[in-house]
Amino acid sequence: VAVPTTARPARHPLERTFLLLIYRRSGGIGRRARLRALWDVVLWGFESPLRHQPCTHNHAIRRVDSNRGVDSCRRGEGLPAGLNWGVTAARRVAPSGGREPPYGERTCEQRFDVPPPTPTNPVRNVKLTNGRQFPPCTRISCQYRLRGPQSKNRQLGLTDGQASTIVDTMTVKLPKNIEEPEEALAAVGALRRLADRLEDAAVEKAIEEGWSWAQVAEALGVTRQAVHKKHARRL
Amino acid sequence: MARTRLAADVREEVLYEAKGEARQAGHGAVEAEDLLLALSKRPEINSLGLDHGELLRALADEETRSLAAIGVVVPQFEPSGKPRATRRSALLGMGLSTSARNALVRALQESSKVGHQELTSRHLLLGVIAAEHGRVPRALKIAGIDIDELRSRI
Repeated sequence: VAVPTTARPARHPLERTFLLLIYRRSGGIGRRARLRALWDVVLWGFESPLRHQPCTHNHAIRRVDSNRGVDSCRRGEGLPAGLNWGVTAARRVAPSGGREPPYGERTCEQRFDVPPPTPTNPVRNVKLTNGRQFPPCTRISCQYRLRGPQSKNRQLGLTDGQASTIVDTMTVKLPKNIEEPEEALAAVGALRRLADRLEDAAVEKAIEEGWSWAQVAEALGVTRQAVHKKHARRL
Repeated sequence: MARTRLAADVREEVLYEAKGEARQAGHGAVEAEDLLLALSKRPEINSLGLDHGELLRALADEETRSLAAIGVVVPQFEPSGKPRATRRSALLGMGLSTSARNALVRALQESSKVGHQELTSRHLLLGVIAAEHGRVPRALKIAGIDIDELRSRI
């Protein structure tokens, strides 16, 4: 009996970890010598065709070819009844109907009753009815996880779910009256000199008023050593 | 190959004056414009039409114009007059900025080009005004000095 996998059920946060264990069909690292007597009892004899490493594919359901005892992990295929090892079926909860999952195990969709995100309406812009911003979901499998336009290219397990927060307003556009780069570069140099002079005067005043080097450094956002090296000799 | 040496007046007077100019302007190191100001105090350079006071005004004007171009109006405040400790050159007891170092390199090239064993103040001036960009050409332009014509007179 194949279980449909199009809609993913609500899952426990640790289920991914458990599933990794479940997906490993035999042992952890090789076969145990203490069980050697049992080796020829099993269907496949000594050479086990079963997977000994956890499967890292991002799918919920595995298919087991019971004829050959070989498991294959094909996306979207179901696990035959009776070969579910008694664990996955219990964890698989239908998205609608059946047992109502506890609040912590509900999907964001169930929890917040918001429409799924679209490219033009990403999740972060969704306002809840009570006025709060939609809280970001960090669950890897959650469709309400914050996703940027590049999310298809991201690795599922390694990249943080948070999208980039670089703000466009950080870029400065040159005033329109500046036509040549020479003028802009001269302005940069002049600003640097001005900042240097201002820093000299400000540090001098602070030290005169009894500030410590540590306080001055903290105010400037640099290390104490840096500000001391720069100004101690002249003050 | 014979090494070019700094002429005594450059070594003992011009560089010393440049250091004083840098200190007055609040620079952390000797800049090319400090060298120019120090050179303009020399009689042989002054006679070429470079006046110290005029250059000072032009440099201040250049800075004000540069900042005004991006809408910054500078409050007048006294420079502290105490230069920062920078990496010191053995020659000056004060750092040489990149612009000043480049000017010195160009001056050395000028002097070796004509086969001189000594780097004089005129060579140094040639090195300073050879910069295409930066404060020196801008200030000279503001002061109404034609660089090509000045170079031909040197």
